[in-house]
Amino acid sequence: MLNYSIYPLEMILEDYDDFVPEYEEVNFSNGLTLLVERSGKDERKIAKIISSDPQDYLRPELQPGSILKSVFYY
Amino acid sequence: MDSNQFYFLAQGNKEKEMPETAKTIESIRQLGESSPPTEAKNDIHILPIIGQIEGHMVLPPKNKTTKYEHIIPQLVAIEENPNIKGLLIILNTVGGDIEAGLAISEMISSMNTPTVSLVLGGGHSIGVPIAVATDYSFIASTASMTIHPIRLTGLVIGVPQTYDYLDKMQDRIIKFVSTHSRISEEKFRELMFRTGELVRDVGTVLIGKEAVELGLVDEVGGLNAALAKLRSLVRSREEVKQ
Repeated sequence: MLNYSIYPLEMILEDYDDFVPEYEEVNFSNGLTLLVERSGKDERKIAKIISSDPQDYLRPELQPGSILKSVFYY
Repeated sequence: MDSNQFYFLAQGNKEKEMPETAKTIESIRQLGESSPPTEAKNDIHILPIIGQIEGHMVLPPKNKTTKYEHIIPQLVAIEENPNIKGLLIILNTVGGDIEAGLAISEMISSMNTPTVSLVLGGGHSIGVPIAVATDYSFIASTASMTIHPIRLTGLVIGVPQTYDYLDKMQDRIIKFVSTHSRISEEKFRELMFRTGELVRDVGTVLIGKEAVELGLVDEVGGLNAALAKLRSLVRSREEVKQ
């Protein structure tokens, strides 16, 4: 990685070794997959949208950082 | 429990609102179709570019980052969405990954949708090409832009190839900035390697009107000026269409 920043690289990458996020992929709907990060027992935080429909990236409820809750289906 | 069965609940929503959301998902499941693309409520969209520009590496969470894998498809969506007439890019960045920054800059500069950028606190390093990539650029009178050479940290093997490589990477930035703003290649290079301005480093800090005087940014202004310019660009674009 070539960084061009006013912050030194050692400051940006501080604690880099301790940072190991756990990601998993969730099939959200047809053609839309979400890469989520475990943020709690029944909670996942959206890390990334994987879709070929550009409009999916503008959906407010799917913005990265939003929380998904898992529920049972009845 | 099937881990693939999720429904979304926006942060801050109350628990009792859950069944309503679940119903929506149920219809998605039955019809195999998701809701239609969000209709733009406002015909002007904003894209804040804040903190570090994150590229091929996920940065530790204490960094505030703008991730290129989100920005790039969003730019495509904005370009493709007929309801979005203009895009305002707000910059307050300390720089970041060169490839990611240049990718975002190239995307913005090749958009048909009118774009205006506004540098607020700072648009440093790789923030400079992003700021100049738009149709028109503004800088707040107190905002600053730092122009400095690309540095390598850690062990650098001092062979001529290393220097050539960095020089090539720098050329990419210099070429982009000089073709998308009024500043010349020579002048930008001179600013990048100027001594005596930065503490313990070479380079230049430009504050507000200095960036305008050098031709890097088009105008000093704030939000109202940026929005007014964007509206006028949108209007003239629509007149051309008619």
